[in-house]
Amino acid sequence: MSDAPANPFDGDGDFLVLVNAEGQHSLWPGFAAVPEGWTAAHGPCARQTALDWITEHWTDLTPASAQ
Amino acid sequence: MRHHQAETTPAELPLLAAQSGILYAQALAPGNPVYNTGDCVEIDGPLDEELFERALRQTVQEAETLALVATPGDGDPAQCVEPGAVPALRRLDLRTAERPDEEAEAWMRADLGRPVDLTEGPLVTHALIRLADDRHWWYQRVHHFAVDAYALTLIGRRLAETYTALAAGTTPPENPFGTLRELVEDEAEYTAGERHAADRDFWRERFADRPEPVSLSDRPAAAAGAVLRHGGELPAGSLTRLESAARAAKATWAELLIAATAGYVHRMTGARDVVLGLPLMNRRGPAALRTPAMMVNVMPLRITVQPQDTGAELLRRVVLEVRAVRRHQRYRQEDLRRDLGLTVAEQPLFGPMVNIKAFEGDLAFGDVPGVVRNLSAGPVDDLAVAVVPAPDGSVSLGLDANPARYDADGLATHESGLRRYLDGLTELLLDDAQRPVGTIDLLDAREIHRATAGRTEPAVERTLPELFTAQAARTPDAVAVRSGAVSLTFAELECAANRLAHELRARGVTAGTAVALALPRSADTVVALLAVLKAGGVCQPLDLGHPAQRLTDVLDDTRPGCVVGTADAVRGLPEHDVPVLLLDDPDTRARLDARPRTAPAAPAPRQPAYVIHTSGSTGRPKGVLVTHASLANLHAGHGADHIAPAVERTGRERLRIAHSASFAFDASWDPLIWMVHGHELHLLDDAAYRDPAVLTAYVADHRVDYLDATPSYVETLVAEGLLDEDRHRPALVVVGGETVPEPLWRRLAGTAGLNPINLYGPTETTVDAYYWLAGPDGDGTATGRPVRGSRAYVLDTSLRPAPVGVTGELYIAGACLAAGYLNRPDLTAERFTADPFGALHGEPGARMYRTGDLVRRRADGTLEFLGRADDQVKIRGFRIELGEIQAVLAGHPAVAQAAVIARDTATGKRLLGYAVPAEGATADPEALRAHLAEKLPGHMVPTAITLLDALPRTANDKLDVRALPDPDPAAPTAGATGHSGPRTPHEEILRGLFAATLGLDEAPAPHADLFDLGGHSLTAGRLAARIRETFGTPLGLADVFRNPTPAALAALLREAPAADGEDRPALVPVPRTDRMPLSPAQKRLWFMHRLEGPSPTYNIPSS
Repeated sequence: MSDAPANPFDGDGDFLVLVNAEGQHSLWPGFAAVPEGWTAAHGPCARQTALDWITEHWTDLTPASAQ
Repeated sequence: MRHHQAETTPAELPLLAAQSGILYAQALAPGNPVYNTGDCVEIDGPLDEELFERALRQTVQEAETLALVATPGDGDPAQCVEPGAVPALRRLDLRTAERPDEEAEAWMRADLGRPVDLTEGPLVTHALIRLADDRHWWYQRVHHFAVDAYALTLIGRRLAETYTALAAGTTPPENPFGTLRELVEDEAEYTAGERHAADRDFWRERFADRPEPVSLSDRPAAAAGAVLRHGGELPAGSLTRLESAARAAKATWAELLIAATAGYVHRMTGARDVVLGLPLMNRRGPAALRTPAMMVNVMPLRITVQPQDTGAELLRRVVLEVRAVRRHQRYRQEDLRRDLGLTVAEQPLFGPMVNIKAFEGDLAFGDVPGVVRNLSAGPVDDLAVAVVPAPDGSVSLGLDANPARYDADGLATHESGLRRYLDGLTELLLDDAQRPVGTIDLLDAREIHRATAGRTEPAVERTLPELFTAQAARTPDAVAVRSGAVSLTFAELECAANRLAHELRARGVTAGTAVALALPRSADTVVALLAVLKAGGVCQPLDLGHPAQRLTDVLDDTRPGCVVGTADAVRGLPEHDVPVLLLDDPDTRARLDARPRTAPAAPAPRQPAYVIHTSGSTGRPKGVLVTHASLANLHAGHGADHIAPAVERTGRERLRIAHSASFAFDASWDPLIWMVHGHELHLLDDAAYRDPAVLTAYVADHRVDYLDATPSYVETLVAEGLLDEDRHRPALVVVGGETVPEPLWRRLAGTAGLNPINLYGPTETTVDAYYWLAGPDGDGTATGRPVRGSRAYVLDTSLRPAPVGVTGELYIAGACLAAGYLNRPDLTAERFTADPFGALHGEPGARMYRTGDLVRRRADGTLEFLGRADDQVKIRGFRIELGEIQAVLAGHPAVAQAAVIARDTATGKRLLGYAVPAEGATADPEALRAHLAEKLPGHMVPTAITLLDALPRTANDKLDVRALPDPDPAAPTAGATGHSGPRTPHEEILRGLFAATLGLDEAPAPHADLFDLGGHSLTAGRLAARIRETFGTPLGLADVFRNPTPAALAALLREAPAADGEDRPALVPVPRTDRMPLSPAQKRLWFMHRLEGPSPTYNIPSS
């Protein structure tokens, strides 16, 4: 195992997909508490699975309030 | 064989392996008293001093180890018990002293500071200090060669037991101590046996991948010359609490402490593979357990810690690892080091050490209690967490550290940090052992709030088009843009932009439609930019100098509704099917003239304003989409933070702003923002702003107030005369885009009338996220803060805020954030993530951008940048800050500009330095290396320095690392065989000695490092011996370690007096190699120690 600091968003643990009121999506490491204003929409799952899910479900970056 | 021989000379015994280790270490640092260990036992109550002395005399007679001296032995160093070698008890009466405790303390410290000669002895001091009628301190100091902490405890207990018996008038129990011979024989048996082989296999396998142990210090590993101590205490009842928390995972409180230390190291460094040092008693069997001697073995304890590990998992892992290590604890650290090739003392086997001394208890002298206080436990290479439980359930938790790696403040911070982590882990285990350790916080709620506060300010309601329209109404006739001979007033610019905006709308441009700009730099570029914003489109300025493929990629990405260009410029574009609007077409001109002069309806703040492509790590450019709201936030921030103060300082209402960046870079927005605030924009054409002479002349000729460029370009401009005394100088120089070298910052800050601003920001945070201003007095300091609408978080790998001074990754949250990456929801979701602290600042559901930059927060809140997370450089296991080396190199008077890089080569990463000589100066690469070697540790000195006329630059004026040439192979470099001639006779001889010792065919370069060339401690010893023999100078092994190159040793020899006439020997003992069996390296070093001693034997080697 490398001793280089690993960014938690690049790690190999479980991930969640979070969504906020604007419909914005966030990859999220499973170990960390879900921040207020966000809810888990998918996961826990592997990182790539989460990213694929995001690609499929978040098709418009425009925030809900600007649509 | 050995003990047979020992029988014929009864007093002489071989050394225990642990003793050899101390002997070796002491030989490397002769005269250093750090190997003195000592305790003070505070005896409160009536004590019979005569009886005490009798008890001590008896105990000393019983404990062989106190009477040891080292002897040369027959080939291998040995030891000898010399009864009578122990001095009598010293008795000090300080009852009449003004401050008896302080005096006693000072006396003990002075005694601990006394160097010990292991061959001469004595290794021991005993003193009984009377502080008051009924108050005594018993002081015991013994060299680490003879005792470990457990041995000191055995001696203390026996003394107390004997005293108590004598005081009661009874006969003390029989001597409990075994003999050293028993221990030596037992160890010899172990070493020859199967158990040893099995242990070796365990350790070799566990460390087969040679992990690089992390330390809490970022200073390089260095020999421990002394110990820095920080005391601490966990409150009464802590032990019970720790015990019940540990029970959840069937662990002991000691294992919980180890887990907390591993977790803390992980949190502070980000490392997931933590290697702690664990002192092991190494006492198997009853004889070993009851005999005072030096036996302790510190072995590496390897613990994986990840943020997602639950508390129970982490603790369980520690339990299993400790159990495995205990089973194999007799295998010596020295042997493992040799197995792993860690032969240089500075190469660490483990990071911080956890030393839990559960065996240390208080003593009773009859009815009188004696409280044991450890004064010195020997040297610490890195850091030691020393834990001793007290009978009242409190726990003393102190830190001992190597002062070469830690200072007192840092130690205090670590002590409280470790305690906080321990608290957090304990609470987690008691509360919910299945919670991940990544949720433990190192800061309390108030500290977290402060560390994440930043600047959360109200959103700006108006967009840039509205702001410009308002400005144009205020100053219609003032010049807004100058470009060559062309100039536009605010009214003209407003009118032209409005007309073009209407035309774009007529062509179908609506909210969110991308409009690509293919224009040569001219006033028209500014018109077009503004027009696209006004039309509600997304502005996409193209860099026509980019390769066709890149232009195709970015056009494919945005699928613009229109390209605004000139006929010439559009011809240069790759094939595309986007409708084109040519501004230089007479038909267009006519149509524009017919469009309304008034502004169209303003865009909504949440609409995107521009898209700028940055290079992605995958090679495919990614388009950063920035909204009107964040652009307006940038406008408000510059206005309040920079423009208003600049206007006030200069007394000029309208400043002249140089625009000297490609519009394809987001930094080009900063000068535009100043124009929108009513200032005069000077748009320099490509040829002008890329030519330092032309740009510098322009600044002076047009009395430019504001200049914005990368630091390396500003360095060039300064060399070109930008800041010369006798000319107009800008009032503001904005630097950004890369690290600002300290000399440049000093120069800018020290220039009268000039205010430098260092702006930092990824494109993803809308140009700027954070900035630094020069401290008062132009002293070269810098104070930083986030830009308006920005919160800068320094988070560790668990996404929790890092304490002050601790390196973490920078995350930016707030109004400055871009919308995301065009067409890349996955990439957007992994870089623009949920903000864990948004709710704390009234923004639940907010996002934060992960910058990938490593930073730490100073005590005053200012951030310091330490480089990119993904290109941390490690050389020979040392973490290297290239910027630090670069700063030192640039600090040499003969150097105008410098760069330092780490480049992968066939033989590993090499540090390479580049210097541009200052005007009129001649720089010598060797002299520059020597300059660096004076100021930096060896591993930070580049192996070669190449002189360049100029540093190569990328299109956006950053250092072009790839264009830096490999060093000339004919030039002298370190670490390789050199071809350069010697510069002094000493050096020539030394290069020959290096070659002979290392078996090289050719003499190495003057700055070749012995250890780079394959040398190790044994080679160093041989080399030292050869040098002494050749030069007749009393040069020690430690000198070779400190000066491992021919050049450095030559310098040392020139300073050192020849031995003639000195009281040191001209000829010195070296091993007779033909008689040396294959014994551990450290045993040979015995001879290095001998040569420093008073009675050397004269022995001339045959080779």
